[in-house]
Amino acid sequence: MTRLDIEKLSNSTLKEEVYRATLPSGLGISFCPKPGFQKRYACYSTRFGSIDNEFSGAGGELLRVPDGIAHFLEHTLFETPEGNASDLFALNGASANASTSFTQTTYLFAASDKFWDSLGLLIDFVEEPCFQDDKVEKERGIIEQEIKGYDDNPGWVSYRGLLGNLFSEHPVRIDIAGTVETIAEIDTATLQSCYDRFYHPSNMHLFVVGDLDREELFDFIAGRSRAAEALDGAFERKYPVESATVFKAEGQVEMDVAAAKFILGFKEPDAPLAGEELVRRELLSDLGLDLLFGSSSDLFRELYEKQLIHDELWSGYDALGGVAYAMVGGDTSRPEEFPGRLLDGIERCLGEALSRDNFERKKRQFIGDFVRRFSSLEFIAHGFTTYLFRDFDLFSLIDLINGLDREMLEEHLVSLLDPARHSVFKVLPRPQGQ
Amino acid sequence: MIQNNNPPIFERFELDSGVSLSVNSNRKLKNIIVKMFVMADLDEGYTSRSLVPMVLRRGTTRLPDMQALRRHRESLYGCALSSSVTKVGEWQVVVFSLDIVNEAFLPAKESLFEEGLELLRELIFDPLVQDGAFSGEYVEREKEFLGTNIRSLVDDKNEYSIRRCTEEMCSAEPYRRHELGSLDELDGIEPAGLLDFYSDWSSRAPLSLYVCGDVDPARVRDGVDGVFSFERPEQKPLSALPAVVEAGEVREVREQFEVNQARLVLGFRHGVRPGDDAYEALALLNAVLGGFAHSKLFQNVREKASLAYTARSWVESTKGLLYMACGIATENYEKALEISLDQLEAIERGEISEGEFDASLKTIINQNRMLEDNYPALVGGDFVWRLHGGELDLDGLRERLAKVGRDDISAAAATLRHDTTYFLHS
Repeated sequence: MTRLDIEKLSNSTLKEEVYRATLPSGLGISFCPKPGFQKRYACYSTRFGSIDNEFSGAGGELLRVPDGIAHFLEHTLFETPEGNASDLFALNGASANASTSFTQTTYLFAASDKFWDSLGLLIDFVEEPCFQDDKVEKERGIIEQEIKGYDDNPGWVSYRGLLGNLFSEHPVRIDIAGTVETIAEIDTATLQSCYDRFYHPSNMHLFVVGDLDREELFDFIAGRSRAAEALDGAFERKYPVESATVFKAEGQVEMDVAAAKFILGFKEPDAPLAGEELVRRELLSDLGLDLLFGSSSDLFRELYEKQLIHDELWSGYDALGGVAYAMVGGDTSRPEEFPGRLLDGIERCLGEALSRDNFERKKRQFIGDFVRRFSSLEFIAHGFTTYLFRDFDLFSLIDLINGLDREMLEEHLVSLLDPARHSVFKVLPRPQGQ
Repeated sequence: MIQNNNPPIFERFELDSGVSLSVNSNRKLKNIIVKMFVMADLDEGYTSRSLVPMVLRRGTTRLPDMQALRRHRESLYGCALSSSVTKVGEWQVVVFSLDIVNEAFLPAKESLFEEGLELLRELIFDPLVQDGAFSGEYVEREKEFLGTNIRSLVDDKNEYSIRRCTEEMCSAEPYRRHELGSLDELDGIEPAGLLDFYSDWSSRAPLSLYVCGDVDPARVRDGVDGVFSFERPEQKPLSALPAVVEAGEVREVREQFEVNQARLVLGFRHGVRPGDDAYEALALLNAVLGGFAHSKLFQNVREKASLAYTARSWVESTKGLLYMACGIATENYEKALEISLDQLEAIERGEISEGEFDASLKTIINQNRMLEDNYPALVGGDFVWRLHGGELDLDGLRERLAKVGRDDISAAAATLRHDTTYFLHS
């Protein structure tokens, strides 16, 4: 067996280390030792999410696949010639799961006993697809029910509504699971063409965390995982160019909810795809949004005391596929007051929110939150993988937080929260008796 | 009661203040988890008990508003401080939680743990009091918010349908009460009355404090002793476990909403509690029936009939109930109901394959082992076992699970009594 070049990453404050290597096939593998833990956790991920619906095929031609196919593929991969992969994991007493996001699909399991059997199974079922017409048909019915379940969830409906308003072209505006109509177009051939490109080992990473021996683990993976030729031709994802302005300034639906929900969003039509610059931008956004709208802010206090919001405001920032957006949302009995109250509040409160005291305290909070999360094996595995797919090492986040400065933050926030690029979406209570 | 001969998960200390302290010292956590359980019966005071923690979070004597509280938390490296109200059988429990980074994993050394404990004490026992009452402004505001929360329970149709099934099934029992309280009761609550109610309850309620982390138990005991140093009058004991109620004729309840997906929830009674002989068999029954993806409900309702995305079952072990639930298209009601009930009957007839039995046992044992790393779950599990007169013993559970045979699972299935069928549809 070829010896692997193993890279060791460590952090002396956290007292944690991660070992990383690349197999000859191109597959990236990582291990984080966690002595004393009963749980061993593995996640096998590919950089393939719902926004990857246009890409170059093996012959260099541009392929356009139906919306929701990454998620559909995630479901169908569980069907193996030996039966459903969940059942096979269950025979080892392990529970497997999978998830699809805008940018990533991840297959995972946690086990204490029979870890090696389950790890072998994970590698086998992800690497050996078996697309069959009858299984694809069966999965379609299940996914239809899954989509309908989301359609009843007011939080999800408002989030999807906002993204549909902000973006006119970019696939971030489509639902991760697609729609009942788009998944009707999916068949074994389209699934296979996505698999061939996005599930190539060079596009994937296997992360394992737990009380294991590193050498044994890496040998096991190297021996079990498939060999692969390098991908034919250039492999590129194509994302449409987004205009700088929002698609629609507002939208709303009525549902059976007790209180109205609103989300205010801001569009960034241009964001880095990967690298430290992207991660810094995310940190600045999260920190800034928390300083402005979090429950220690003056703006929150004002809205809460005037009973304009029911509970906390939540906020978030996401950058993907070359675009980004910031969001802030909450529940209210006075939906007509939004987004005006927030837009006005941003202008009035931004300076004070970013005061030196506030900024330094918030940095402490971010560092503490980050360290606490290292108690979770799931966080370590998913956090590392997600950042790795953006060419960034999770351990470096502490230094990045420490290195943030206030002027940088202010400049970023002013540009991010540009009132000319906002949109709002509301879920309103359905009038009684209808 | 079962004897536990295995090394205990928690070191116990009975403190002078009447607080029962349980400490788990481990090398796995980067944070320190602290949970204080304040217990009561699920009686008429349930709405006040649900409101109190919401008023407490508004401010303490030293940190009199949410902003001051929150900023103090941020300066303690963003420790999380929260409360929740839950129902354990016919008891109501308010849990105050502190999750603080262990200073050993910070670049600068600070004595965060003691400061965190002090903050927790202030939150629970040193609320902002004005003229012998809780702040009127806070009480009014939180009453309104709690009212919205209770009304919002309808927003999540999965949770709502389970709650409605419970209300119908236990309509004449205290268990019908939702842990958040009721809108009717909420109206009459006043700031002074609420403070009196809380003072009486918190001074006499059984208190149980848990601490987990990379800590020295003796230091934790001293820290807790120093911070929670109050004197308390004699405790008011909790009521005994609720008697097992027999199911009568199956009740059928239907409600119509404008929904994309209908929800079917079936409620059953069994009366098996932690420490009972049939406890482990019931856990395995649930694993075969609907606890996991290999279970009969998932396999037959979802995988074979393609009727649902979710189809599952779970056990409530203090009141002694079992639920089955699935999300389906309205027109598939009869089909889904029939398939769901068929699964239970099949188990009763002994139709449990080698594979189903094996997967169920292994999955439960595996989960049980992994629980050793899940400290919030260990704390929650031990707390419930202690309410039943025992303590959490994962080794013992595994030994007893390994002795359960397929006959025992069929026998457990035969003791289930279908009580209520609830259907939320379009």
